[in-house]
Amino acid sequence: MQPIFVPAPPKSSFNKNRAPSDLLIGQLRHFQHVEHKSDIAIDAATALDIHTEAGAARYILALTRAIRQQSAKPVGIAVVPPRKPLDTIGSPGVGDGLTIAAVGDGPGAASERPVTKKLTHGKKRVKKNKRKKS
Amino acid sequence: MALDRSLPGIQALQHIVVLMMENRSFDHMLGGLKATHDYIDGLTGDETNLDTTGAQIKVQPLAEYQSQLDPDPNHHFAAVNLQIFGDPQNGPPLPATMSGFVKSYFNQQQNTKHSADILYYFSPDKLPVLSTLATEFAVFNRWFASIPGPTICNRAFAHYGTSFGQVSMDVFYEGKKYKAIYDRLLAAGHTCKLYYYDEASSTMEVVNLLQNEPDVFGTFEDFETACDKNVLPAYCFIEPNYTDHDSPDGDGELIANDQHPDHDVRAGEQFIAMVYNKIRQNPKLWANTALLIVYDEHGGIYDHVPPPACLPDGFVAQPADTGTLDAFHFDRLGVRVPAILVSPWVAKGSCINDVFEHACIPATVTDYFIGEYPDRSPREIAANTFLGQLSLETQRTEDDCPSFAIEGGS
Repeated sequence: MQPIFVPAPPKSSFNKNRAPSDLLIGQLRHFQHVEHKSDIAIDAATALDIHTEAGAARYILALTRAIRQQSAKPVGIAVVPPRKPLDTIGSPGVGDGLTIAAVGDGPGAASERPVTKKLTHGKKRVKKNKRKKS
Repeated sequence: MALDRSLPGIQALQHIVVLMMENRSFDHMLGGLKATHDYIDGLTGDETNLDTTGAQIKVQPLAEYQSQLDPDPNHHFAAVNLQIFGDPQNGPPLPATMSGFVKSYFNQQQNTKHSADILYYFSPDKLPVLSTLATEFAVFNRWFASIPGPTICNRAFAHYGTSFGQVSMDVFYEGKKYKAIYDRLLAAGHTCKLYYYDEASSTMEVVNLLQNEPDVFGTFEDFETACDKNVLPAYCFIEPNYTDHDSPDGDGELIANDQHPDHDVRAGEQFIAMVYNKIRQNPKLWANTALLIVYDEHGGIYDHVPPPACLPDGFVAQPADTGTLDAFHFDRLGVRVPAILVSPWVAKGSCINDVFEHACIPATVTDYFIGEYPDRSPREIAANTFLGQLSLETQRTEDDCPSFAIEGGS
């Protein structure tokens, strides 16, 4: 049987400036929850710059590495109160502006000052990029 | 039905690999196969929804790889109620007519023309990987999302056999009543890994697993290395790349391959092919590995099969959580999703008509590697298992199994 060709997406498909989807916003909320409940300190600029997929990925990268480095000392987690569903029929856009609380006082410093940032859905200009692989 | 462990494919089986993709319905991805493979419960082309003007809109093979489902179709609980029952506030005893998808999508932009795109499906030639695997191995005609809701609660069923009463993306809690499949396997002396794509994409299991069981995790590169070195864990769960982002090692940029709208579906096709090829090209793995490719939920996209009732989960989500007038007792499934079982011990053109959902994943893995394990959710205990499909007396030959040539990749 001959190998079946699987085409790559065009370079124009890549858009790291795309606004985060609900899925990504949910993932960010989980990371922020862990950040607040732990002693992990994330650079403030990284914690605030989460309005694009690339920015969210930088924050997630920092948290993931920090969590794995702290693997020897698990931290307790509290229940997060239920929030209003992001999407409500008849009211599109309800919850689109998700309040994200992030913490950071610079690299390596313990966090004391909460920084609140609001994530909103929105169109970003597509920027063409080269890709490494899928 | 108990697994026949005398089957040669079962006796050879050492690894179960699950790849869970994002947010596409069965009909959207595989529905077009019915025209050439009538055993696949796809689309006749006559399925319709009414739009908000009252016009009947037909399904059409016009799905595009990207830019068509923007904004991301709503798939939270109330929206899925509308899609299934035609009413966002009420579910059963209303009949599941699957008639509200166009109206649901209309609610997001008030654009009648665009709302019809939610009925579009891919012609099989546009999805060479998924179409080939579905027809060359075993396709599930009745694999449903575990909950008529979004990603994280559905993915929880794949890890725990329950979402602990959650129907949304909210953070779960400590002190879980049931152990994750990874905890069970490790306690029983088995190996397992949850592979996320890379540290910048990471996992959707942030709170419950990544923080508390970091040793369970690896990257996709680790998966590839484990395949190459023949040290693949007994159970592997793979998450795709959820974002377009710069490579953490500074070497270029990485495109999202989860197929979540509005990411390019072709990148996900390539990713599925990469996972398949990695196993397929290693003869020491191919004969003893079962690969399940499945999607977490339908993403708000049309499917024609009404989700069935199921055993209540023992939890209740209140109306404040569902966004509807009713509490939810986890007694019915979500919308149907694509699912394919791959192994050289699976007969070509197999079709599975029993009902499956994501709790079937820990149910199957527990049954195969551990055996009796009573401390599981009622849903998982009642769930079907899928390894019985590895039923051939002799392994399929190299020439009889497809392989993929991935443009620009391995």
